[in-house]
Amino acid sequence: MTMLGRGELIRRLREGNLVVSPLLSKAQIGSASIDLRIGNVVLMVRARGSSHVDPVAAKRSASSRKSHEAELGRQQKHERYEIPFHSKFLVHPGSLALVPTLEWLQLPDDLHGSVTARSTWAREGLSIATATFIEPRYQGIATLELANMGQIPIALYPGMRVAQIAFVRVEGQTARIGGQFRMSFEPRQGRVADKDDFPFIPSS
Amino acid sequence: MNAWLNSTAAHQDVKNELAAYAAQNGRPFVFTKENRELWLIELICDLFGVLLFGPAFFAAHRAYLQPLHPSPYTIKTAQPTHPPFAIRHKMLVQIMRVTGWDVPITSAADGAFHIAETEMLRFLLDDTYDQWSRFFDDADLRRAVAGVQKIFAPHGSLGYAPINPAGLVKLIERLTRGLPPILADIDQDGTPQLTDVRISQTLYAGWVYWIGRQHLAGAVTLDFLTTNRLCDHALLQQRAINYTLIAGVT
Repeated sequence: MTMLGRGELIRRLREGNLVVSPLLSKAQIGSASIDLRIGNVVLMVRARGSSHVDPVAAKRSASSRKSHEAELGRQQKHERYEIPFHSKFLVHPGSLALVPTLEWLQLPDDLHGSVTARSTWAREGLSIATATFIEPRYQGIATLELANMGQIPIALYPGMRVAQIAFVRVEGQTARIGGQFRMSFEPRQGRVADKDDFPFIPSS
Repeated sequence: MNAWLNSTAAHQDVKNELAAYAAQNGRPFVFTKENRELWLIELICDLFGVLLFGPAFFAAHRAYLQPLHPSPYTIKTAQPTHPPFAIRHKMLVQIMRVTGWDVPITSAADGAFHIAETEMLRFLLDDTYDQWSRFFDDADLRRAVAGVQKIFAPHGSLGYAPINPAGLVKLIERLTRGLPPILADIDQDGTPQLTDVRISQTLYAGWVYWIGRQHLAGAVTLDFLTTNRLCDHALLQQRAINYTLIAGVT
């Protein structure tokens, strides 16, 4: 596994083989990573009457012909806000917010990206919880899953650098039948269970 | 106005519409001063639209509004609030010509990008409507354009101005790769090279891609919604670029 250093990152970015765009400052490219900025949409995860997340609901909606209802059902736990530049949003302790990166990513088939919080923000309790992997050939924004592990709310502003992505070279064939979020423009909820999970999930 | 509406040169659809009105109401249709003012307001809105957003406004006008007007000469006697589509279209074609925006930005040396842009302009400038629907002469429109541009002048880059050829090619080329159309490169040491691209220029590139896409070889083929969303995303990114340029912090 080889991680790309600054020189190789710049070379690939200039050639267009790798896209992380726009980069707004020279400091955004680190020794072996690229800082990512917050975009202008926030999905705040809310309980809103749900007692728990249950893959049974996902299985049921997958077999339903009422796809619109199924879609609504999947999204009901997220409140979407558009946050203009120079406006803040608060991430409260224990809450989860999904935000897009400002940058558009396009990975070639030999690179894999890993997203983490910048250490400055991690020390304030800001954690980029999951979905740290960006697969080869992905194109779109990256979704940052922000959780506040600290004691007090954290104010964030679109355009700020809160995350970073590092790239490693992948060996061998990487072709895969469609990921869930290719050409993503903003965060959205994923499928908690897929067809190959269904045999293990009761029908009701 | 009433003489013009009732002239022998009027389109047959208008003659039929006026005849139907007279038969139904027992008197001829009268186009009032208030109706005229409403039409002028709409035409002035179109004028502002095209001078603010350039040919991209005209492209949206044609792509979205034309299908809503299967009879482009209809004046809607019951409520004549909007001029017939043919009048609006013809006025926009004339404005394109008097401003010089009917000429491609790219040149033949730009190959497929030039062919795509020419195709987009052909789509806009196609005008088969009757001469009867020519509401203004070119001199009227030159005065109107100059008047509106005078209003824009104190606000800097508010009005449309064509992008340079290299910039346009780069924006379209990014769309062929499935990327938001912005101009944001880095140099050899990683320093960003950012360019202020106006909203109207981003949208122009988007329409050239969409109308001329069959001439453009690319890694991806985008549908209309995705093209639209990529341009929308570019406008958002451009905002961030402009904040950076203004602050001078690259």
